[in-house]
Amino acid sequence: MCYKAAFAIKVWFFLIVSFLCFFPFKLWSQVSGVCSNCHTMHYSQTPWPSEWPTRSPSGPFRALTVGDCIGCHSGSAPIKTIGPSGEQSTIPVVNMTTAPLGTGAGKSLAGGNFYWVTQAGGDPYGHNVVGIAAPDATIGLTPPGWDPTATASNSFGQIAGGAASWTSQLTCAGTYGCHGKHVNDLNGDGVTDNFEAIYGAHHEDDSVIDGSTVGKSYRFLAGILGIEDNDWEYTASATDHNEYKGVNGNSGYTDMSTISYLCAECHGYYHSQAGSHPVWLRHPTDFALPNSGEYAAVYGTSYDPVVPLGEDDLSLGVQSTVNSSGNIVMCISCHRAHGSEFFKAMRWDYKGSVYGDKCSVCHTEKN
Amino acid sequence: METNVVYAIQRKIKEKMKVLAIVLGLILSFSLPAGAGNYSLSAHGDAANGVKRNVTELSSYVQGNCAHCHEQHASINGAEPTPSGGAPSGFCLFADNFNTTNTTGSYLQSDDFCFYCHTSLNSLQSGGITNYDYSTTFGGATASVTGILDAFNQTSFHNLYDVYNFAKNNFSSFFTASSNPCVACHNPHLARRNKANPTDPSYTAISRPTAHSQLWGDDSGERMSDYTTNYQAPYYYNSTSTYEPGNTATYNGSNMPDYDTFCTDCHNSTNTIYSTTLGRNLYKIDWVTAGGESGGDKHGQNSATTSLNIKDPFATSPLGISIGFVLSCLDCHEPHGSPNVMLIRREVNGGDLAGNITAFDTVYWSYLCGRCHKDDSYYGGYAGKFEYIHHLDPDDAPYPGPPSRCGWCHGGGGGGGKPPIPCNRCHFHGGNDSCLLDSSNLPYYPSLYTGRRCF
Repeated sequence: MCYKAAFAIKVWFFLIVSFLCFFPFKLWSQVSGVCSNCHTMHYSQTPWPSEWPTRSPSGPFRALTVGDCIGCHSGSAPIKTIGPSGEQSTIPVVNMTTAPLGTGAGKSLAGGNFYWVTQAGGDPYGHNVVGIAAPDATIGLTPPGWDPTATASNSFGQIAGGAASWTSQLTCAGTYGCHGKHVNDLNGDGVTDNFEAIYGAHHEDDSVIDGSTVGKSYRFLAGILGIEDNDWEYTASATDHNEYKGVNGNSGYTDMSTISYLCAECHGYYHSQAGSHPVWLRHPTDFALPNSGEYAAVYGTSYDPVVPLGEDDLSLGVQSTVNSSGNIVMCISCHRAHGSEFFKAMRWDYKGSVYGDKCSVCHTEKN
Repeated sequence: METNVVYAIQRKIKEKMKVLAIVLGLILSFSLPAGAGNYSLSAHGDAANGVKRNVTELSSYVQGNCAHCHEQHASINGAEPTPSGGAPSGFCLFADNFNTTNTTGSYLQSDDFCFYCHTSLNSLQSGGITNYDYSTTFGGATASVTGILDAFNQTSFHNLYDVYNFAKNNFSSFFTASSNPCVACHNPHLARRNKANPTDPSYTAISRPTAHSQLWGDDSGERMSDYTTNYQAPYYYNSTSTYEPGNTATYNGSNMPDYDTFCTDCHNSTNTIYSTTLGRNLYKIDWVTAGGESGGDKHGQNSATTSLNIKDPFATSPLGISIGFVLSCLDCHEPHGSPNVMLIRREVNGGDLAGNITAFDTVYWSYLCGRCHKDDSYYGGYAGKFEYIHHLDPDDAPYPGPPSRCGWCHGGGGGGGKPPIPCNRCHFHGGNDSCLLDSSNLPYYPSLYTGRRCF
């Protein structure tokens, strides 16, 4: 009897461990913790808890939140935890108020940080988001590569309403933002703002990322798929990282669930080929690294979170090596979406290196 | 509480997986092929002399950086630096790779991507680039052209459209319809600064079309001295004691790439190569078959059968041979272009040609031949004439005597001797004296036909 019980315990232990291994780790994007970590009934509340964002003259905010996107996602550390013990909320910080140690594991999160774009001369170091930095003095409001016809059929709405050129600055979410719906104008003012764009997403059950809603989309990027690392890659290794959706040869972006499609919503196509001469006109994205030539040496190597490659079959889970499924070149293979300490929000010091530094991770014969 | 237990288990599993990943990473990292740093060692990737496009947008990019040639987004900082052609270009280059509509030269800077920097005029390279021809760089001749574009825009040149076509059809493993013809011979990510190190072939700038992914000449086994033990380097310019390349005492080609193997990747006895410039197929070149009068070119691994009337350094070669020398293609030819026809060098064997050879059918080939072969001035006759070799040399004159009926070969006139016959009638790659059988042109003298190899 004791033997059977012990055996049963072992079986259950095995099943639990197996479950934990293959189940996406607890996703912190669905908020946890007590409501008052993020909401207040009275924006005039006094005293104002020190762990809340500084009271803003633009408050109060909708949904009775204590801050807006930037307010909550700013801080002095890459991850901040607020609230009373046992009822805490963990918040990824994308806009550090003090200089991050850099980008990469143990320094900042997967998307990098807006800190660098806030610094003098910081325009080339990240996205110039309203409330964080003034519009890019060189580029202006319209994103480089903007093509209003490129991604017009997005079910979450077309960014910037498909205007010929942009008349508003980039926002975190909404009509002119990356996150949430681009069209969800609840108050009828003609623009989908940050709150309208991600309305309700923080409280959605996001245990399954299927892109059906903002909350069930990768990092609230409407319609985008991926596997979310539970600490946003604050710790990162070959086995501990986000898994991004990519599709090999996503011609015309017929698949709108890839992370590179997200970039293309503003920056147009980056994977097109010339008609008669099949060579790249721009660095390809949403395209598989060939298992030939200099690229063949990449196959079988450990996944490098600094140079991530996308995955076209997310059911395979987090990939620890570069293989025939996890081999998709993406925009964010080279860039940090929010910003980095490197020129052009690169993941490494491209312009400061003769051979482009980490370019040689894929271009193995060009180091 | 349960949640905390779950997290604790997750954390432990993650930690163990991290350890496993580190172990796997170490194993994999040591199993990766060695050989890092190829581009950094190349001319274009050289931190001090590499590519550096002189445009404001790239001013903060280090020398040698990819962006000086490749624009990843067909723009830099939201704009297109000079040259601004509008549409993006293949291989993410800042301009189109090659203009296939220019089939016969001469070339404009915009015809070939490489010319944007490799030109003496309006180079985009910061500070410009000086590229002399082979005669100057390796032979020491007084400088002539100072850019590659300039070299191509001379009397004869390696027709880039023909190179493009041939490479496209024969080296499709790396050469496509979008490729640049220069790439047939140079791998831009590997090619090194041989011009700055002319006596060190590890700095070679060439890659065989049949082995594009590696340099040629940098490794042992890839030198002229490996191709043949009978390579005698010609004299360096104005010297009678030092040799090409680079004015040193090395005479056996151990300090230069094996150009013969390199060139015969294309120019061999089997490939048919059409020349748009000439309007015909090029002569096939058999540089390897021995066998005397039934073999290949005697300037190659075939040999003169009896003797030579040859100048130094060949006449007193430290190799200890008097015939059987194997020449490098670049002893006589420029790779890019020259002021002479057939890409003939303007300086050969330590001295300038007496003049330019601007026609194919001409007696002025003596300017070239006479740089190594003794003319009549060595035997009491006229410079630039070769009667002794052909008629009077008791050892090996093919038409001794001389025969009667001089006019059958030489025509009339001549003053101080019969007018010479254009050398090219018999002396060309693969040539023999079968022109003696052709009644349509001089020399026509069928009974003198020997069938001997004349090149």
